[in-house]
Amino acid sequence: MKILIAEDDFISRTLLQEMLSPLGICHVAMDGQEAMAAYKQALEMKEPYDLVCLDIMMPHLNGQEVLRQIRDIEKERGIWGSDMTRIIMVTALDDAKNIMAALMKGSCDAYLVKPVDREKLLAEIKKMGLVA
Amino acid sequence: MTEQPQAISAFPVDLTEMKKTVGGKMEVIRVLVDHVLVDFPEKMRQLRHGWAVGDAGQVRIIAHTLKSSLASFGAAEAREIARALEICGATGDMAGAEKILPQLEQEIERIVVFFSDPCWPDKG
Repeated sequence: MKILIAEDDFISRTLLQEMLSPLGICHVAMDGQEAMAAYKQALEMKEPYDLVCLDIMMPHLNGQEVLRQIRDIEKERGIWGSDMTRIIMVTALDDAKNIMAALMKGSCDAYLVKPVDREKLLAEIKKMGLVA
Repeated sequence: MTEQPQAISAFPVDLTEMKKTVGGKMEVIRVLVDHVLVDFPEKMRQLRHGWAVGDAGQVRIIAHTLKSSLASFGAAEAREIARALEICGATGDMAGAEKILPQLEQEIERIVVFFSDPCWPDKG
């Protein structure tokens, strides 16, 4: 599995890497712009990410915007269903507005509030069919 | 009515969940602790500066980041204070922020003192 972690905070980024690296190759982006650059590059190389974990409050480009741009690109390119990148929002924002925006408007696959529980994260990834 | 004094935990952090998250790898936690010892005081300086110049957005962002980090370390009291400060930043309540900042500084200081003790792995 190929995973992209977009997280500006060192502590959260390190913890996510620790949880996810046993599942596959983990790339990290420090902000939303880096995340979009990594996502686009992976698409161009025809090696897209299977899973993207997105923080919301990141500098330059926030996670909600990254989510929207990824879904727009997939739509433009006719990427549908199981070919779409699975996206998990991983954030300390637990307000209804952000949750609804990500799940309904942005079509993320899961929304987890920090601190991330390892079991919950792995359960979501299993539900997505990315691991057995 | 007399206000009940708030109970203060013996330790400012609880590493139980973090240990589970990293599969018990203390070397990872040590890296994070080294980071905290530099980063938390720096974040407090940024918060103070944000408040001093009336930058509510800055106060909100820094408090939000701290809230997240504090939650990872099981620093429940400090996390709640950071959350209150984040709300002050979001609502532009700088008078409220002024009252909360010293509380957060005190909790961050407790955490820094705790992790500055080489024996912290046996306590947290």
